Amino acid sequence: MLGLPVETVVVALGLPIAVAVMLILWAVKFREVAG
Amino acid sequence: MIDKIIVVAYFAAMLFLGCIASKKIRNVSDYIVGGRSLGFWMFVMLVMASTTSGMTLLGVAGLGYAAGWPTIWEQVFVPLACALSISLFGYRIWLQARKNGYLTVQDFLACRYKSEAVRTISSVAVLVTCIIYLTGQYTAIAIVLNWLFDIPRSQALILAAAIVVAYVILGGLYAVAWTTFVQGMAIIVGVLLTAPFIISAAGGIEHINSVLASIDANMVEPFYPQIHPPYAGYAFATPLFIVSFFFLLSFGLATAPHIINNVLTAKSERDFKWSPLVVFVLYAIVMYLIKLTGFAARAMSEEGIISVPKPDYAYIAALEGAMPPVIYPIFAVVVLAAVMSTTDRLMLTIGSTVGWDIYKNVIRKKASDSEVTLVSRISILAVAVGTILLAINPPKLLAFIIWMGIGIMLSTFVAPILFGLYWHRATKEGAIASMLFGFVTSLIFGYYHKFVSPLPFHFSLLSFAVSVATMVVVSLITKPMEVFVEEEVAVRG
Repeated sequence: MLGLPVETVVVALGLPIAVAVMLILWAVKFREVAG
Repeated sequence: MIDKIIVVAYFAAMLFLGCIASKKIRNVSDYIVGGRSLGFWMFVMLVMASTTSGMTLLGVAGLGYAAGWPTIWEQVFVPLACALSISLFGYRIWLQARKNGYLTVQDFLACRYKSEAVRTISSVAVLVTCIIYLTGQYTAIAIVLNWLFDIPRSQALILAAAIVVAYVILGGLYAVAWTTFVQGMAIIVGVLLTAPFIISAAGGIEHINSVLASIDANMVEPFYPQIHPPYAGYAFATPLFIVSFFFLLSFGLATAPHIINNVLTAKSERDFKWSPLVVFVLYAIVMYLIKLTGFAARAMSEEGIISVPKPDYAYIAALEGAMPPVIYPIFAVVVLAAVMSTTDRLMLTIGSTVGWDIYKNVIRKKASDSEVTLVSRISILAVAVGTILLAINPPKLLAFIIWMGIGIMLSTFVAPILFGLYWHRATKEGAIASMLFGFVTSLIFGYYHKFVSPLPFHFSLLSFAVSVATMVVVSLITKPMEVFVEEEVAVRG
């Protein structure tokens, strides 16, 4: 894909998506997590 | 000619904002934290653009140019630092700041640990790291203006510094926030508009990757092989190094004084709900695009389309090569905006540390608001002069010293803040020992790495481990603190 090995694509796309999901959870559970 | 007009107009706009902001300064809280009145987008942009430095544009593209895809990790770690600064560290500090009137993170540390010694040690560490960082920013400003106008380095520095110093002294945090909002927008729009041109000029992503792979097959892998000493000087992109970079960037930068102090400016508790995600997504998009321009610059350089004198010139050279000659100077302002958005925040952080933490809280507790603001302004001017002199003839090891500065942040601030927020058993003695040991061992391991024997990971990983271990052990063997921070008396009135 795009001339890259699969591992690179997984890291380059998977890592930011994983972090974004974590931050969505923070927002959704804001009261419980932060409180 | 058009480039000069654009840059002069940009400078004039920044000064104008500084003048308008100065009318809002009524007390020291207005000057240091903008009266805690920033709305959601102003807050998001302040956190993002304060982090976006000269290193972000020039360094990120330069690292991509030099080493390819194994450096992609920093594109996640740095935006994550912004998100953690707001969520993991910032939210709880903000809650307590609202109740107790904190103006700096050192206020939080001094109250949490009931110790002015903690405030003093952390303030010294803040000044050391900010001055190191500031010298790097001024050096970057000199590179940009020198390239744009072909004027001597000293003149370029004095010109840019005079503008930044003027608006920070005039308008404090309001001026920093407003100018940073404009600068942040310039960075986002500028990168979104230029990156597709540059990538297209280099032949598209697939072609760029095939050129990178032809230089070194590892340049398209997620990391370089874990061998030591590294075969091509890419020690920073081996798996072990990437782990150390995770801590260094995601946690060290998250507690960097010029970034974490921004959380005290937010107006509402609601701002902390979605801002970590928004700042992460915005910043990650910008960082990915900048990294891709670095890859594109390498491909264009290999194919003789452009000439890149040094990796740090990759973004500028690619911009010059890909954009029409009439338009590309406009985007030089983007680089300038990136550098200045960090420079002004660093200067204000230094001013507030000297004026509020050292002068007001250590030297003269009865100092009035106007006296504190005056001392902050004088210290901003003094530090600007000192760092400009350093930047005219930058130390040969400047890049290393800047990385050491981030390592000092990681080893000095993270443990006392994190444990202070989340562990009731953390004590004053633990915090003081943790900061001192973290600070000293980061210098020792840094020296060892640079001058004795290179380590296979960033040296700050060791000093960070020392600071955490010291915090835990010393806290457990000393008397527990009786009153937790929520019950503290107000810092101000």
